[in-house]
Amino acid sequence: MLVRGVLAQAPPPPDAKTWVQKHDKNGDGKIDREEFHQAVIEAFFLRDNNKDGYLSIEELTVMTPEARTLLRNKPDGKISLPEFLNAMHKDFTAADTNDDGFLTVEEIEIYMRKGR
Amino acid sequence: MSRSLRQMTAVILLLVVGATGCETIQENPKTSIGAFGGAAFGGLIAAAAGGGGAAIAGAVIGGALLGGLAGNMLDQRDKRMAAEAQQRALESAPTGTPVAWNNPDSGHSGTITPTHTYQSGGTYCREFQSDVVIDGKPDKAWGTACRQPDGSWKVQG
Repeated sequence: MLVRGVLAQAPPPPDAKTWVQKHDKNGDGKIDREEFHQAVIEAFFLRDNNKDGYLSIEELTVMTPEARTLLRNKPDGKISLPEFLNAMHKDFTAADTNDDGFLTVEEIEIYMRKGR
Repeated sequence: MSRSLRQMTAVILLLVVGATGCETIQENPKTSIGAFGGAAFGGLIAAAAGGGGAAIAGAVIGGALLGGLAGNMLDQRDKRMAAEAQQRALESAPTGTPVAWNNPDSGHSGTITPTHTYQSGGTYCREFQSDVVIDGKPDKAWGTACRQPDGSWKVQG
């Protein structure tokens, strides 16, 4: 669900391995918090069609569990970048099953399967 | 050369340009950076690049990214095409994805590649790399642009 949410922001949606390869800036084969952070910002920017600095429900077509929770508490239906980052980092924590601060392809795939 | 060093060099170049008004890049006497001081410029960036130690200054005029060499050597159509490519790249290209321009009449071409995206005070900003090929010679420049309320991108510096 996490990666589906983030990946859906940048066409064409790649698989977890491709997504990791794209955002693994230091080439260690996994995604750390900083790499993830940048990927989320990128996804937010590309998805923000009117570039007003917020994602609306319409723009956030695929939601992670945390984003869905966030939206429930937002009467205006708009998510700012800091709010989105906060939600996505919670998803990162949930996906990082061994709590080592990195997401591997395997962890992402497992998290994606759980989210289905 | 590291990005921080390039940016520092850019700042130095910018200050030099502002202070002197007209200086010539030693490695290429044909390239004057004096023109960068004109009031017509919407923004100015400068950066240094490798390529045998040749220093390159970059400038943005009305949203179009121009290398120091390009400042003198790109024609109006080159500049317009580069500006359009820059707008497309900054507005919608994913990080690492180059947006190309090519003017078959002049034989000049280039790409604009976003390299980093962030928000500053609620405003979107993107760092980018500009590559140009002028008379078969490649050059590079780097900069940061922030989105304006009217949808244009203004280069910082």
